[in-house]
Amino acid sequence: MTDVERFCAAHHDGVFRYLRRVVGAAESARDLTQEVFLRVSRAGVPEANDIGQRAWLFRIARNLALNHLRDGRRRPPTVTFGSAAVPATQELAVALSHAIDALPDLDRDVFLLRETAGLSYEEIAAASELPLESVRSRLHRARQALRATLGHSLALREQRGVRCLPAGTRDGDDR
Amino acid sequence: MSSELEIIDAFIDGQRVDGEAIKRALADPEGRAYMVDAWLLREAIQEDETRTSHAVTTSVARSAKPAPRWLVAAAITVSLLGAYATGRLTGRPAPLVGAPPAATVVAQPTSAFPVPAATRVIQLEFHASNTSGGD
Repeated sequence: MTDVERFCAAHHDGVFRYLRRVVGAAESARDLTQEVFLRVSRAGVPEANDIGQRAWLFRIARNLALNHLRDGRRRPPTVTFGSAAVPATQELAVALSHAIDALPDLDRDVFLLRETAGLSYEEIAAASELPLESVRSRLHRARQALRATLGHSLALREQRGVRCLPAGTRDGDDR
Repeated sequence: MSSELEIIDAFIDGQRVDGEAIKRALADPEGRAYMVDAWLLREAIQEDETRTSHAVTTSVARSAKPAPRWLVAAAITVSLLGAYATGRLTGRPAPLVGAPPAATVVAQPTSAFPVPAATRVIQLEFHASNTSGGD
Protein backbone atom coordinates (compact mmCIF):
# COMPACT_ATOMS: atom_id res chain seq x y z
CA MET A 1 0.00 0.00 0.00
CA THR A 2 1.47 3.38 -1.01
CA ASP A 3 1.52 6.46 1.20
CA VAL A 4 -1.29 8.04 -0.80
CA GLU A 5 -3.43 4.91 -0.51
CA ARG A 6 -2.81 4.74 3.21
CA PHE A 7 -3.69 8.42 3.58
CA CYS A 8 -6.91 8.00 1.59
CA ALA A 9 -7.96 4.91 3.55
CA ALA A 10 -7.35 6.69 6.85
CA HIS A 11 -9.45 9.73 5.99
CA HIS A 12 -12.10 8.43 3.62
CA ASP A 13 -14.83 8.07 6.24
CA GLY A 14 -14.20 11.47 7.79
CA VAL A 15 -14.32 13.23 4.43
CA PHE A 16 -17.51 11.42 3.43
CA ARG A 17 -19.23 12.21 6.75
CA TYR A 18 -18.33 15.89 6.47
CA LEU A 19 -19.42 16.14 2.83
CA ARG A 20 -22.68 14.33 3.45
CA ARG A 21 -23.60 16.85 6.12
CA VAL A 22 -22.59 19.80 3.97
CA VAL A 23 -24.23 18.82 0.66
CA GLY A 24 -27.12 16.86 2.14
CA ALA A 25 -27.36 13.94 -0.30
CA ALA A 26 -25.33 10.76 0.19
CA GLU A 27 -24.99 10.25 -3.57
CA SER A 28 -23.47 13.70 -4.12
CA ALA A 29 -21.27 13.25 -1.07
CA ARG A 30 -19.96 9.98 -2.49
CA ASP A 31 -19.15 11.63 -5.84
CA LEU A 32 -17.44 14.54 -4.12
CA THR A 33 -15.45 12.19 -1.87
CA GLN A 34 -14.19 10.40 -4.96
CA GLU A 35 -13.27 13.75 -6.49
CA VAL A 36 -11.37 14.76 -3.34
CA PHE A 37 -9.26 11.59 -3.39
CA LEU A 38 -8.77 11.79 -7.13
CA ARG A 39 -7.20 15.21 -6.57
CA VAL A 40 -5.15 13.87 -3.69
CA SER A 41 -3.82 11.03 -5.84
CA ARG A 42 -2.96 13.46 -8.65
CA ALA A 43 -1.30 16.02 -6.42
CA GLY A 44 0.26 13.63 -3.93
CA VAL A 45 0.13 14.15 -0.19
CA PRO A 46 2.22 17.21 0.75
CA GLU A 47 5.23 16.85 3.00
CA ALA A 48 3.83 18.14 6.26
CA ASN A 49 2.97 16.94 9.70
CA ASP A 50 -0.32 15.11 10.24
CA ILE A 51 -2.16 18.28 11.21
CA GLY A 52 -1.07 20.05 8.04
CA GLN A 53 -2.03 17.11 5.87
CA ARG A 54 -5.51 16.80 7.33
CA ALA A 55 -6.09 20.55 7.07
CA TRP A 56 -4.97 20.40 3.42
CA LEU A 57 -7.29 17.46 2.71
CA PHE A 58 -10.31 19.12 4.28
CA ARG A 59 -9.58 22.39 2.51
CA ILE A 60 -9.94 20.48 -0.76
CA ALA A 61 -13.13 18.83 0.47
CA ARG A 62 -14.54 22.12 1.70
CA ASN A 63 -13.78 23.96 -1.55
CA LEU A 64 -15.35 21.21 -3.63
CA ALA A 65 -18.44 21.22 -1.42
CA LEU A 66 -18.77 25.00 -1.67
CA ASN A 67 -18.38 24.86 -5.46
CA HIS A 68 -20.97 22.11 -5.60
CA LEU A 69 -23.45 24.24 -3.67
CA ARG A 70 -22.55 27.36 -5.61
CA ASP A 71 -23.05 25.64 -8.96
CA GLY A 72 -26.76 25.63 -8.35
CA ARG A 73 -26.93 22.03 -7.31
CA ARG A 74 -28.66 23.22 -4.20
CA ARG A 75 -28.80 21.32 -1.05
CA PRO A 76 -31.98 19.19 -1.13
CA PRO A 77 -34.45 19.93 1.60
CA THR A 78 -34.01 17.76 4.63
CA VAL A 79 -36.38 14.83 4.58
CA THR A 80 -39.13 15.36 7.09
CA PHE A 81 -40.95 12.33 8.32
CA GLY A 82 -44.61 12.40 9.28
CA SER A 83 -44.91 12.63 13.03
CA ALA A 84 -46.54 9.20 13.23
CA ALA A 85 -43.72 7.60 11.28
CA VAL A 86 -40.83 9.07 13.24
CA PRO A 87 -39.49 6.73 15.89
CA ALA A 88 -38.46 8.47 19.09
CA THR A 89 -34.78 7.75 18.38
CA GLN A 90 -34.96 9.56 15.05
CA GLU A 91 -36.86 12.57 16.31
CA LEU A 92 -33.74 14.27 17.59
CA ALA A 93 -31.81 13.36 14.42
CA VAL A 94 -34.40 15.07 12.23
CA ALA A 95 -34.56 18.13 14.49
CA LEU A 96 -30.77 18.20 14.58
CA SER A 97 -30.49 18.21 10.78
CA HIS A 98 -32.90 21.14 10.56
CA ALA A 99 -31.07 23.02 13.30
CA ILE A 100 -27.68 22.50 11.64
CA ASP A 101 -29.11 23.67 8.30
CA ALA A 102 -30.32 26.84 9.99
CA LEU A 103 -26.85 27.81 11.27
CA PRO A 104 -24.92 30.61 9.50
CA ASP A 105 -22.70 29.09 6.77
CA LEU A 106 -19.33 29.59 8.43
CA ASP A 107 -20.55 28.55 11.87
CA ARG A 108 -22.04 25.40 10.36
CA ASP A 109 -18.84 24.64 8.51
CA VAL A 110 -16.66 25.04 11.58
CA PHE A 111 -19.06 22.95 13.65
CA LEU A 112 -19.16 20.14 11.05
CA LEU A 113 -15.39 20.10 10.61
CA ARG A 114 -15.16 19.59 14.35
CA GLU A 115 -18.00 17.17 14.99
CA THR A 116 -18.13 15.05 11.84
CA ALA A 117 -14.49 15.13 10.74
CA GLY A 118 -12.93 15.43 14.18
CA LEU A 119 -10.50 18.19 13.19
CA SER A 120 -8.66 20.07 15.91
CA TYR A 121 -9.04 23.83 16.26
CA GLU A 122 -5.73 24.39 14.47
CA GLU A 123 -6.78 22.12 11.61
CA ILE A 124 -10.15 23.84 11.29
CA ALA A 125 -8.43 27.23 11.22
CA ALA A 126 -6.09 26.06 8.45
CA ALA A 127 -8.79 24.26 6.45
CA SER A 128 -11.27 27.12 6.56
CA GLU A 129 -8.67 29.90 6.48
CA LEU A 130 -9.94 31.52 9.67
CA PRO A 131 -8.05 32.82 12.70
CA LEU A 132 -7.96 30.42 15.63
CA GLU A 133 -10.00 32.76 17.81
CA SER A 134 -12.67 32.94 15.18
CA VAL A 135 -12.85 29.13 15.13
CA ARG A 136 -13.34 29.06 18.90
CA SER A 137 -16.07 31.67 18.89
CA ARG A 138 -17.90 30.23 15.88
CA LEU A 139 -17.88 26.78 17.36
CA HIS A 140 -19.23 28.08 20.62
CA ARG A 141 -21.90 30.11 18.85
CA ALA A 142 -22.98 27.09 16.82
CA ARG A 143 -23.29 24.94 19.93
CA GLN A 144 -25.25 27.59 21.74
CA ALA A 145 -27.63 27.97 18.78
CA LEU A 146 -28.16 24.22 18.52
CA ARG A 147 -28.69 23.99 22.25
CA ALA A 148 -31.29 26.72 22.13
CA THR A 149 -33.13 25.11 19.21
CA LEU A 150 -32.97 21.55 20.49
CA GLY A 151 -33.38 22.21 24.21
CA HIS A 152 -36.47 20.06 24.63
CA SER A 153 -35.12 17.13 22.59
CA LEU A 154 -31.81 17.25 24.43
CA ALA A 155 -33.62 17.25 27.79
CA LEU A 156 -35.57 14.17 26.74
CA ARG A 157 -32.40 12.50 25.62
CA GLU A 158 -30.63 13.34 28.83
CA GLN A 159 -32.99 10.98 30.62
CA ARG A 160 -31.28 8.09 28.81
CA GLY A 161 -27.95 9.17 30.24
CA VAL A 162 -24.93 10.82 28.70
CA ARG A 163 -21.51 9.54 27.77
CA CYS A 164 -18.24 11.14 26.86
CA LEU A 165 -17.32 10.66 23.19
CA PRO A 166 -14.48 11.99 21.07
CA ALA A 167 -15.58 14.04 18.05
CA GLY A 168 -15.38 12.76 14.51
CA THR A 169 -16.18 9.15 15.13
CA ARG A 170 -19.31 7.17 14.56
CA ASP A 171 -21.32 5.76 17.40
CA GLY A 172 -20.09 2.20 17.76
CA ASP A 173 -16.58 2.83 16.41
CA ASP A 174 -15.20 2.38 19.89
CA ARG A 175 -16.89 -0.96 20.41
CA MET B 1 -20.02 33.67 31.05
CA SER B 2 -19.41 33.07 27.36
CA SER B 3 -15.65 32.85 27.86
CA GLU B 4 -16.14 30.29 30.62
CA LEU B 5 -18.32 28.23 28.34
CA GLU B 6 -15.63 28.46 25.65
CA ILE B 7 -13.27 26.90 28.18
CA ILE B 8 -15.71 24.02 28.40
CA ASP B 9 -15.80 23.84 24.59
CA ALA B 10 -12.03 23.59 24.51
CA PHE B 11 -12.07 20.98 27.27
CA ILE B 12 -14.56 18.67 25.54
CA ASP B 13 -12.74 19.19 22.24
CA GLY B 14 -9.52 17.81 23.69
CA GLN B 15 -7.67 21.12 23.86
CA ARG B 16 -5.30 21.81 26.73
CA VAL B 17 -7.02 24.15 29.21
CA ASP B 18 -6.08 25.80 32.47
CA GLY B 19 -7.10 23.61 35.40
CA GLU B 20 -8.36 26.47 37.53
CA ALA B 21 -10.37 27.89 34.66
CA ILE B 22 -12.18 24.63 34.00
CA LYS B 23 -12.89 24.20 37.72
CA ARG B 24 -14.45 27.66 37.80
CA ALA B 25 -16.46 26.98 34.67
CA LEU B 26 -17.80 23.72 35.99
CA ALA B 27 -18.60 25.19 39.39
CA ASP B 28 -21.41 27.07 37.71
CA PRO B 29 -24.60 25.02 37.10
CA GLU B 30 -24.94 26.65 33.68
CA GLY B 31 -21.44 25.44 32.81
CA ARG B 32 -22.29 21.89 33.81
CA ALA B 33 -25.55 21.99 31.87
CA TYR B 34 -23.69 23.32 28.84
CA MET B 35 -21.17 20.49 28.99
CA VAL B 36 -23.87 17.83 29.22
CA ASP B 37 -25.74 19.36 26.27
CA ALA B 38 -22.54 19.47 24.21
CA TRP B 39 -22.00 15.75 24.86
CA LEU B 40 -25.62 14.99 23.98
CA LEU B 41 -25.29 16.91 20.72
CA ARG B 42 -22.17 14.98 19.85
CA GLU B 43 -23.79 11.68 20.64
CA ALA B 44 -26.85 12.54 18.56
CA ILE B 45 -24.66 13.44 15.57
CA GLN B 46 -22.65 10.25 15.87
CA GLU B 47 -25.74 8.08 16.15
CA ASP B 48 -27.15 9.76 13.08
CA GLU B 49 -23.90 9.12 11.21
CA THR B 50 -24.08 5.46 12.11
CA ARG B 51 -27.70 5.16 11.04
CA THR B 52 -27.07 6.97 7.74
CA SER B 53 -23.95 4.98 7.05
CA HIS B 54 -25.89 1.76 7.65
CA ALA B 55 -28.70 2.93 5.34
CA VAL B 56 -26.24 3.85 2.57
CA THR B 57 -24.36 0.56 2.92
CA THR B 58 -27.60 -1.41 2.83
CA SER B 59 -28.86 0.41 -0.23
CA VAL B 60 -25.55 -0.09 -2.04
CA ALA B 61 -25.51 -3.75 -1.08
CA ARG B 62 -29.07 -4.18 -2.31
CA SER B 63 -28.37 -2.52 -5.63
CA ALA B 64 -25.17 -4.50 -6.10
CA LYS B 65 -26.74 -7.87 -5.28
CA PRO B 66 -26.53 -10.16 -8.35
CA ALA B 67 -29.68 -11.68 -9.83
CA PRO B 68 -30.45 -15.19 -8.63
CA ARG B 69 -29.18 -18.02 -10.81
CA TRP B 70 -32.61 -19.37 -11.63
CA LEU B 71 -33.58 -15.94 -12.99
CA VAL B 72 -30.49 -15.82 -15.23
CA ALA B 73 -31.19 -19.36 -16.51
CA ALA B 74 -34.85 -18.51 -17.17
CA ALA B 75 -33.87 -15.34 -19.05
CA ILE B 76 -31.43 -17.27 -21.28
CA THR B 77 -34.00 -20.02 -22.01
CA VAL B 78 -36.72 -17.51 -22.88
CA SER B 79 -34.42 -15.57 -25.18
CA LEU B 80 -33.30 -18.75 -26.98
CA LEU B 81 -36.89 -19.95 -27.44
CA GLY B 82 -37.93 -16.52 -28.65
CA ALA B 83 -35.14 -16.41 -31.20
CA TYR B 84 -36.03 -19.89 -32.46
CA ALA B 85 -39.75 -19.05 -32.81
CA THR B 86 -38.97 -15.80 -34.60
CA GLY B 87 -36.70 -17.63 -37.00
CA ARG B 88 -39.38 -20.22 -37.74
CA LEU B 89 -42.06 -17.63 -38.40
CA THR B 90 -40.11 -15.18 -40.51
CA GLY B 91 -37.55 -17.44 -42.17
CA ARG B 92 -37.59 -17.88 -46.04
CA PRO B 93 -36.24 -20.81 -48.03
CA ALA B 94 -32.80 -20.34 -49.46
CA PRO B 95 -32.78 -19.24 -53.12
CA LEU B 96 -32.23 -21.96 -55.76
CA VAL B 97 -28.77 -22.25 -57.14
CA GLY B 98 -28.55 -20.81 -60.64
CA ALA B 99 -31.82 -18.95 -60.53
CA PRO B 100 -31.68 -15.56 -62.23
CA PRO B 101 -31.59 -12.55 -60.00
CA ALA B 102 -34.94 -10.98 -59.42
CA ALA B 103 -33.93 -7.63 -60.78
CA THR B 104 -30.92 -5.89 -62.20
CA VAL B 105 -30.32 -2.30 -61.39
CA VAL B 106 -28.63 -0.35 -64.10
CA ALA B 107 -27.33 3.08 -63.42
CA GLN B 108 -29.01 5.58 -65.69
CA PRO B 109 -27.08 8.61 -66.88
CA THR B 110 -28.49 11.80 -65.63
CA SER B 111 -28.33 15.26 -66.95
CA ALA B 112 -25.58 15.99 -64.47
CA PHE B 113 -23.32 13.70 -66.50
CA PRO B 114 -23.89 14.48 -70.24
CA VAL B 115 -23.16 11.58 -72.54
CA PRO B 116 -20.44 12.45 -75.13
CA ALA B 117 -21.20 12.05 -78.82
CA ALA B 118 -20.17 8.72 -80.36
CA THR B 119 -16.98 8.73 -82.39
CA ARG B 120 -17.32 5.21 -83.92
CA VAL B 121 -20.34 3.08 -84.35
CA ILE B 122 -19.88 -0.64 -84.35
CA GLN B 123 -22.71 -2.73 -85.67
CA LEU B 124 -22.95 -6.33 -84.79
CA GLU B 125 -24.89 -8.68 -87.06
CA PHE B 126 -26.12 -12.05 -85.99
CA HIS B 127 -26.73 -14.74 -88.65
CA ALA B 128 -28.43 -17.90 -87.75
CA SER B 129 -26.78 -20.92 -89.39
CA ASN B 130 -28.70 -24.10 -90.20
CA THR B 131 -25.63 -26.09 -91.05
CA SER B 132 -23.86 -26.12 -87.83
CA GLY B 133 -24.94 -28.10 -84.85
CA GLY B 134 -28.14 -30.06 -84.44
CA ASP B 135 -29.01 -33.06 -86.50
